[in-house]
Amino acid sequence: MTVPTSHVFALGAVLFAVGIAGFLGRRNLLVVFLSLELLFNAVIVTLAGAARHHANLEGSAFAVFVLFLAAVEAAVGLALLVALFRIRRSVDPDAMATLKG
Amino acid sequence: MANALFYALALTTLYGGANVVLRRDPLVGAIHLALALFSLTGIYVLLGFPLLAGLNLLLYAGAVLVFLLFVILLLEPRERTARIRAARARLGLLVAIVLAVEGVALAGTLDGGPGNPEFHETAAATGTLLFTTYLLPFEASGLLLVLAVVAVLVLGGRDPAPRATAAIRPPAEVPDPFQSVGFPEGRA
Repeated sequence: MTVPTSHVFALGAVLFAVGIAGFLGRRNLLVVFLSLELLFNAVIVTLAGAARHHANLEGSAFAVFVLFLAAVEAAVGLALLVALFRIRRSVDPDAMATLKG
Repeated sequence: MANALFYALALTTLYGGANVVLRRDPLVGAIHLALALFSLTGIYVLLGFPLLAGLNLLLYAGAVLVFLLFVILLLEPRERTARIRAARARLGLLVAIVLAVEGVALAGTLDGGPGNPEFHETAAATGTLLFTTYLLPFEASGLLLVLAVVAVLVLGGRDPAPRATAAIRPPAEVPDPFQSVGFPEGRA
């Protein structure tokens, strides 16, 4: 495949932007989670493109670590979401403003 | 041929991502996330990262996505949808447009061509790197995964606090002392 690395980076950047739009723009914790997964994958695709550009494996190893972190984040985050939903009966992050002064 | 496949997969990835953000029901969003993840797996294969593609398929499309779907399906459709608030959506859109323009402009300044198009990662090479140079971070992430399992077990369990206070409080069915002496109720 002879796709230039800049196009891979552009895909990563646009995917990250789409994820940020969902992360900041939606007020539904479930959609915020789905957007977080998009952000992680944008980073991984950028790492893969850079690793191919320089023909070294460090990017690949780093991407594996990002995958680990994404799994940890999803598990703990969803457990927190379920625990919060039991108390608040809502997926709206603005409903969780108890700590606001 | 491979180039056309890359652009097609990039388009389906972005289509799936846009639908994740735009659909009201997170269940529909999760299905579109699956589309984006499968397309990205194809892109990893095309870029020459078979190990990454396999892990992505197993960890993301397998474990994380099924877990997300379980949680989404736990909630009623009425509870899991929330209206899109205009001010917040505008903020998200603004930041996203700025980031996208900056990112694409930065990517455009890189004119190195395809770099090393013949580069291919092998699971053995990446595994060797993970178990030699990056052994400490690798073990640390293993520890992190164990800690996450413990955290999820603690968070997922029912709150033990109400039971503890209930044990201190006297039981609800205290026998009426007057009944045992023989006074009928209401004569006190």
